[in-house]
Amino acid sequence: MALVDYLPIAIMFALALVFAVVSLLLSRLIAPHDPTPEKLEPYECGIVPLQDPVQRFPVRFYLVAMLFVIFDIEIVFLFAWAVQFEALGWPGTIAVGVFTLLLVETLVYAWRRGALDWNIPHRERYRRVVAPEIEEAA
Amino acid sequence: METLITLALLLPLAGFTFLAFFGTRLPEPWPGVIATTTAGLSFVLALIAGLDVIGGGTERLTVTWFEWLPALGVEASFLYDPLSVLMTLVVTGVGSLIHAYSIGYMHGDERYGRFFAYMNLFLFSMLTLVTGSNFAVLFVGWELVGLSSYLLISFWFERPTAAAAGKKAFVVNRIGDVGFLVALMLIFNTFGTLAFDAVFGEAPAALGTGLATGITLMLLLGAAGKSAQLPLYVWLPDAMEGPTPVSALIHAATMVTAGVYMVARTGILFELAPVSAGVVATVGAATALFAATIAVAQFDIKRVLAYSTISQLGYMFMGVGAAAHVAGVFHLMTHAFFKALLFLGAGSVIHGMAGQQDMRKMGGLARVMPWTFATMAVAWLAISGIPPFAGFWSKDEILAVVFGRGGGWTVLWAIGLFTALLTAFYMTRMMWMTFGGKARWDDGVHPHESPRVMVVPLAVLGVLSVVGGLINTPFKPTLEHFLEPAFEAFHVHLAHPPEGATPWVLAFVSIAAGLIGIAAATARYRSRVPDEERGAWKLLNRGYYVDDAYAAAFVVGGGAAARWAAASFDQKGIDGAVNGVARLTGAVARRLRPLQTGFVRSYAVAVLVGTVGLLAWFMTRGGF
Amino acid sequence: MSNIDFLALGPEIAVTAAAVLLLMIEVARKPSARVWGWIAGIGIAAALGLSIAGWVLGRGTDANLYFSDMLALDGFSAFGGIVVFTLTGIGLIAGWGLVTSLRRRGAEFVALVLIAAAGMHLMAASANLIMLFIALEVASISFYVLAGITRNRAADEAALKYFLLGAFASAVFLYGIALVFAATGTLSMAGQESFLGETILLRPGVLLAGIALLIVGLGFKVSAAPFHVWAPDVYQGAPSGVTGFLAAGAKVGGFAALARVLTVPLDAYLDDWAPAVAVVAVASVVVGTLLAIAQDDIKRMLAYSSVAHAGFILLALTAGDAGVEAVWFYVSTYALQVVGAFAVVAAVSGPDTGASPLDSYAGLGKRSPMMAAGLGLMMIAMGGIPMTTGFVGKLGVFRAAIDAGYLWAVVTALVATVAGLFFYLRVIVRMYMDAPGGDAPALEVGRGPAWAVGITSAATIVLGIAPWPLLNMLRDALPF
Repeated sequence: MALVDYLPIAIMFALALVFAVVSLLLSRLIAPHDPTPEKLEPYECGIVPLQDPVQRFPVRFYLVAMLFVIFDIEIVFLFAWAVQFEALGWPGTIAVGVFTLLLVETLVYAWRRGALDWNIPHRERYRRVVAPEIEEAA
Repeated sequence: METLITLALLLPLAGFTFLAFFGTRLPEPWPGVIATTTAGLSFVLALIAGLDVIGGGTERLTVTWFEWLPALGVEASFLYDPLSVLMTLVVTGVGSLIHAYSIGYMHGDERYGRFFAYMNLFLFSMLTLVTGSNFAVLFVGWELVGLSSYLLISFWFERPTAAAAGKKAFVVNRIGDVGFLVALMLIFNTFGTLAFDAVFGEAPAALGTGLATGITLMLLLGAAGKSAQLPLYVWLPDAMEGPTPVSALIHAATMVTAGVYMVARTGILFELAPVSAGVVATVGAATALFAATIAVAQFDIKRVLAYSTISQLGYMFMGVGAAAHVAGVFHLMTHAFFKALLFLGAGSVIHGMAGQQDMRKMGGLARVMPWTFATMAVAWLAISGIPPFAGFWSKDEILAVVFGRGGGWTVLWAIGLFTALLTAFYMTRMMWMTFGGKARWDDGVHPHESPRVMVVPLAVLGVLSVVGGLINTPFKPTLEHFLEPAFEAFHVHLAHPPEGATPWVLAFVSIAAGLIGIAAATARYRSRVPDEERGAWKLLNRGYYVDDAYAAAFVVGGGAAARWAAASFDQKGIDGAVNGVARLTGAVARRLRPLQTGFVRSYAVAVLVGTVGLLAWFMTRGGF
Repeated sequence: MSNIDFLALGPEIAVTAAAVLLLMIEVARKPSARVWGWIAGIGIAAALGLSIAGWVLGRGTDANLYFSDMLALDGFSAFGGIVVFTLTGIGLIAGWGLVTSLRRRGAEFVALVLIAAAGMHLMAASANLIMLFIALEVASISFYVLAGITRNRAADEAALKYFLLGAFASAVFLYGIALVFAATGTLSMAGQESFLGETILLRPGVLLAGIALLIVGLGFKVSAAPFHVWAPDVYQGAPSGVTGFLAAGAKVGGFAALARVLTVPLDAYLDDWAPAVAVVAVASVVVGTLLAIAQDDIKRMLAYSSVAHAGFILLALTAGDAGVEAVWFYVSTYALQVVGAFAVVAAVSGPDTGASPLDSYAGLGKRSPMMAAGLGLMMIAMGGIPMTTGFVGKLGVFRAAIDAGYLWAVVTALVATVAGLFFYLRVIVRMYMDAPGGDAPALEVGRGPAWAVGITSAATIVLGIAPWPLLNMLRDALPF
């Protein structure tokens, strides 16, 4: 592949760069500059922030985020399969089915282990399964 | 025939296996009896095989057990030619006597069974070493004798000195083994095989002088480690921490002569590398003189013998270096007799003196230990080179051959001669201090003669020390005729003593040297023990402080290097860099530390540095 | 063309199915640990059986490619499967104490081991760089979690370090893949082989940079210096019951991948990468040996020793195709030694603890003769003393490197071998010549470690004295 073939990509890249720089510069030049303390606060839906936004939040967010990302990525694979559906035929269908089932199985396992129980301290499963182990580990 | 010699090799192994499992459960003296029986049977079988070789029935026999490393064409096979038969006979013969002696000597020891298991293991290893028909089997034996020697030196591992001595022997031998291994790889690389037949057969045609010199110098390094030659001799005196029978068997009669055997076996390679052969002889002569001077000033009876062993091994090296392989092996054999006898005698003395090894606390023992004295006196005359005792014939033949080669070799001959004088001197000194003069015993020590099971082996060795030399006199060189085919088969050209009247003159000169040594020592030590703890005597007594120098240079230095490496790479280098960065970046670092440990980051830096290095190297191979 | 054949994935399907089944039964029924053991055992046995069948059918032939050239089935991958699944079985047996001590999470542990096994085997069977990357990640991510499975401080630290550095190495590896793709225009190893065989690159810089980064990525997995930095902390922190599996698995998978990548697609550039591999090998041998001498914890010591062993194995790779046999022999026998040694560590220090100071081995000869003999044998084997597999392995490796002309590297490695004996023998001296501290009672050894030590010891001695069955098997298996 000759270097020339990359030219559209290079042009695209340059355009994106120009657009970002130009719009930032323009707003800097055009916008009036009159700061007040309230204006310098981080924007949080128009409400005055009560505390420093950098703080700890439950690790459970990550779990949910990860489960979400897993299913998000599943779509990427399914898309590729859908494009080649005819060519791959039944074996492809089986493979993708197994793949999906594997992800479902992961979800089932995580679910049954209490990963999706949000308000855990009040849940019976937590008392029965998770709490003893946490104590044990501590 | 094949069955016989295979059995001779396997019996000690069987003994070891049996004793390793059941030795601790058997009551005294059964482990000793079993071990002695296997050793004795092994000797008898080897003798039958040996007689067959002597009788001309079979001159060479190769027994192959199995293909060991087919990829390298290495077989587990064993060669029985006159040389290996002789070595087998010496090893099993002297070995059986020492086994028997140990039954009495080790009486009451806590690990009686284990001792004999190790002894049998050693016998098996040594037999493997001397009968292997290729370098690989030789190397296996080489390592196994090292292992059993290590186990036996630190047999009384409760004593810190014994444990340390074992370690030292091990370390020093490792240095030698590196040389040996490199030599093996060079040989394999050159010949594509490790079998003696093939290597020695092709060597004269295929081996250039340069490569031959490289290989043989590496072999010499290995031999010097195992046979305690300069500069690797330091482990042997310390090895005397082992039980005395061990000193007799392993560190006097057999294992330490493995280097001599190896040089004799690979004689053709040394013949192709005259420089190396000269180095062998020079190392031997230097060691002989060096160790003899140290032996002169020792007070510990076993250390006298240890340095004496080193010195005598030097003679053997001189012999094989001068291509007098028969003479070298001959001296190996006679030395095995009289040095084993000396050690066992010393053991008997130590046994009788309740563990006392300091000769200044002995004296006057001739009366209470008549058998020990008589047998040791024989050995004393043998090592001092007085005819017709065994040592005279073998030592004299070496000196005669060395003299006969002329040129620079004459210097080596002179060194050997002076060493002979020193040998007679320090042996006489030892005899007087131990057996002569007045009793200087500590209170509460009541010396007594040793039990019969210890005395009988002494007597047998005494007889051998008298007549052993007669199998190879200039008048009737039986041993030479016996051994020659072994060397001819490997294309070695043996050096011979000069013809005519010269040998007679040389013999008288060396007898005179021996007598002068004896006379000087008698004059000095007959009636008193002079104060020998200052000045030059002290220097000699401490062995020229070589040990201390080595300790400072290698052991401390090496340990420090390892510690330094550990500290600087593992902690200071990486941690230190991280900590430095952490301090520099101050507050930021303090806030980040809980999130990211310094370690991981610094590890990542190490990986990154490696990546960049590798990339940079590849970049030099081809531009973009 | 795509050549989809699920039988080609048989071993992976077997162990993965076992893992899935195990987890489902676990959440549905909460069975006893015995049930997990049966499921895992059947899965591993099936995978092993399929690998053996693959070896019988596939040895000596050229690779059969499946799934659009993603997967190669040949003697190489089949032998890899035999090694991986044997190792997994023994590793699980040796660490079974850890499974029971984890209570209900033991099921996760077993499942992760099975999935890691699938990943390791895929590393040996990948015929495409992206496939290789995925296989590597499947195995690695399982390893990260396994290292921290006990969730105590030390294990957490080990897992996190392993993960962070591993992610770093994976990124480098991926970049290497990208560069090789840029240079050759294909990700299929077969495609790259034919492209590089037919084309002379005028400017091979991109390809060479790619090779460098591939070596870094896989060098990290096999803990070759200077990419070894994670090993001591991870070995020490990870629970002893699984350390042996982690250590051996990373080596087997990593070297399988390294051997295939370097000798199949990049064979034409042997002269370029072999010197670099030799330098990395010597660095590993020297660094590993030097640092192992100074360790007081047996697991750290074994970690540095594993760095040195990685160096020895790399030496054989300098011979290219001709060294692959030596690589496989060394890595498979070394893996058994490591698993055996860590089985003893798990028995002495407990399968769920991390650190294992050398002092706790004093007098082990009295406390547990069998464990002491087993560990002693492993030390002797790792030291390369004759009549053990360690010796035969070193011999093969050295020979390969000498044939390739790297005598200087071999001589350095020889010196290091000799120096290495110090710390291996130190363990033996501790076990047999020191009295146990205080009033140490006889050591209670479970059946798991006892079996694991027994099997690995037997293999180490038998294959050390009579290595030719394995060597012949390898010669049959490898089409080179």
